[in-house]
Amino acid sequence: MAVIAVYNIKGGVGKTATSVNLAYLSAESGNKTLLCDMDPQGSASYYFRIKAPKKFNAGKLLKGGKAVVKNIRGTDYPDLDLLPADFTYRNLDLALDDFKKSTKRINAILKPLIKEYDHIFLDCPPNITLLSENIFNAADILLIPFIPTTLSLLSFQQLLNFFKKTGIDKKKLHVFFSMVEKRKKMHLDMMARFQGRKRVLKQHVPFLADVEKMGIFRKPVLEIAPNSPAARSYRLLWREVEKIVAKRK
Amino acid sequence: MQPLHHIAWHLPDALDFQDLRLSLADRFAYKHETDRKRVCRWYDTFDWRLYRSNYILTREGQDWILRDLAGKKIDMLRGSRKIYRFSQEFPESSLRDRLAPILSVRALIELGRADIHRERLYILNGDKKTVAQIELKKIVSQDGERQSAIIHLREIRGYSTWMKKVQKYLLDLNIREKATVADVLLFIAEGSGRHPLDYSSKYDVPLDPGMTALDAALRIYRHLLTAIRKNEQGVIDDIDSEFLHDLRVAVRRTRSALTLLKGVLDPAIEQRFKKEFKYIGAITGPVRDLDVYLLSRDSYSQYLPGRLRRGLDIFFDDLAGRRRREQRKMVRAMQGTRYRNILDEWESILAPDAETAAGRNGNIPIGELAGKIIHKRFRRLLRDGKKIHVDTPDEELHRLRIECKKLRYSLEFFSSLYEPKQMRQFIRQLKMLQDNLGDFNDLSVQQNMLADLLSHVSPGTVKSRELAAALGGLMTGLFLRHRDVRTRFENTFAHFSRKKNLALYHALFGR
Repeated sequence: MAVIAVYNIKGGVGKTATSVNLAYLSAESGNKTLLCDMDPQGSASYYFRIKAPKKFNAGKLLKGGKAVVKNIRGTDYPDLDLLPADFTYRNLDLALDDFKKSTKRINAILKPLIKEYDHIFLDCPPNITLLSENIFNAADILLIPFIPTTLSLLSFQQLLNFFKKTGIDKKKLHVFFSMVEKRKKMHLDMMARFQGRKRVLKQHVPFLADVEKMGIFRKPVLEIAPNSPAARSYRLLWREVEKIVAKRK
Repeated sequence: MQPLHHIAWHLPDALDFQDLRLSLADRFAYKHETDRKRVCRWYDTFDWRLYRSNYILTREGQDWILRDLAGKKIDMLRGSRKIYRFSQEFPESSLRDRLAPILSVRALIELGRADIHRERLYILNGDKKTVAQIELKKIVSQDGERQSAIIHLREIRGYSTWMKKVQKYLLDLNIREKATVADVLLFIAEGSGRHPLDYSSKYDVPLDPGMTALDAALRIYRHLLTAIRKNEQGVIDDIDSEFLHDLRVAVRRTRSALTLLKGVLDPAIEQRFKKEFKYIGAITGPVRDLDVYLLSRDSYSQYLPGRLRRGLDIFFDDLAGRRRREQRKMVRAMQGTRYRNILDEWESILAPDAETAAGRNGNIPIGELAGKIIHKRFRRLLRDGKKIHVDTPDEELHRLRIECKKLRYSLEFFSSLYEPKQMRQFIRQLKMLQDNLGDFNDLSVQQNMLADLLSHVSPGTVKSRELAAALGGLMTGLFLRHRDVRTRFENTFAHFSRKKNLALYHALFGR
């Protein structure tokens, strides 16, 4: 059992595409998988054509237990379930603040689900907030998609500082390059600087139109174009992540 | 979390897949997919070990799938073209780990196969999201003559109202007769002449105390003959070691019954078949002996330090070669006229319409005779066992082992005549003694075998040096275990003949 959070302080780095495709691959290889859409924009839910039930909201999520279980939906793919996001999630931070042990609330919510699923993916909203801290605590693996630019480097540095300050285990962190454009020299230079370092994955995901088509077809790219370069890179990425999961056990 | 609903029904003959699709289209939007035809093969051991453990193993296309009897998928091994017979041949996987303790030394055999044609209908909501799944399955026997159609409806988590809607609609189409995986498998097995639990290596022939000894004996012999017949083909095809083992047990039981139930049949017949079954025991003996060694290959290598194990491989490879030769010899004998005639004539003597004449004990009620037989065996076992002391030669212990076996067989033959719970208890007590004597015997036989082998190793080559070293190592290990088992005999026997156990015997048999 592993909780895998896909996170970055910055938006638009390919978090949702990563969560959706990796969760799909996890289920495809026979693991019971749950994808929790934590982002109020609800993009992951949209890709799976799932709407949050009318009665579901941030309050229900934080209540945990049955209130959460009742709102899990099966996707169109075997062994892959989804907990849809609701727009009220935009206030999750404020609501979390009302709880005792407010940095461990998500842990408590996930607890009953942990025995039901082999892998739980969290598709996280950007920013460093109380919700993010909750997610850092709950996750066994923090997967960070990282566009190889200077600004990304800066935000990664901020994240490392935050980990140091809050005392969260740095070993959870795993970085991979996302939306890589090979024709950009800066991308290649940045990657060269990081390649081979600890906790930097070998596999990167290129910037490809097929990934953007997910919004049109409302399906994982592995379903739209299973033999495309995009699908291939997610497969290789999943293989690497799977190994990290296995080693952790 | 609630488990998801999954219901399967038989499709009425009047309704074919196309009718059903058209009809559903009136009410629901759906996406339709047709799968490629797959061949489904069903596997189990000859004695139904998987079925007994509530499992069903099939290979569908290239996937090995393990389900429980209710049809729930338990485990799966994808994309394997190979056919595996023994659990250790499977690639490392959770499926292998699950199968290994259940199959043990038995091989998987194909019980039957059928073609499966599959269509899927994904019921969609307004967002074109799948909200329920229908699977139509047509199973066609290999000869194309029989077929059966099944419809599955599966719930998608969070969309139970849709499931109910579809279910109600199907009910209106008169789809209501529930189906299970077992139905499918029975269909598959039908052509093969097998049906679940049609073989067990356990002895179970119920007797009634009022029946004559002759009727009881015929019933026992018939059961044992059937067991021999059922295992023959597996022995000849050399599927796994247990066919021969079971066949030999049935032969030994027959011989034992011929002795124990002396005078129930015509003495001439008894004399003759005692000899005949001894012959069958003799022609099947060498292969079984070799099987016993080969099966213990892994445990043997645990007794040896790593550097001596190469010699052990030489030893076992040689044994495997010898077994191949012995197996060929045995098959020739089993296909020969003497073997055939023995069983055919025995069968005609046992036939219900043969009116076989009773011997002098044949008309005694079996309830009476059984008590006498058991008592005689028990008395003799106690008498001989008590005589054994620290310096008694090994042969006496081997003789005692045979005494135990005779008592054990008579208890098994007649157990249905006595109180079952106490009977089980008493057999358990006897078994402890038998295990001790059995180990003692096995270890003696093995030591003799190795000593014999060692005397034939020609000196000179590296290979023979390694072999001799491994044999020496094994013999030392066996000697130590042998001595250990021997020292435990006295306590084991005292435990068996203690007051409490005698009281149990008395309560059971009234003597």
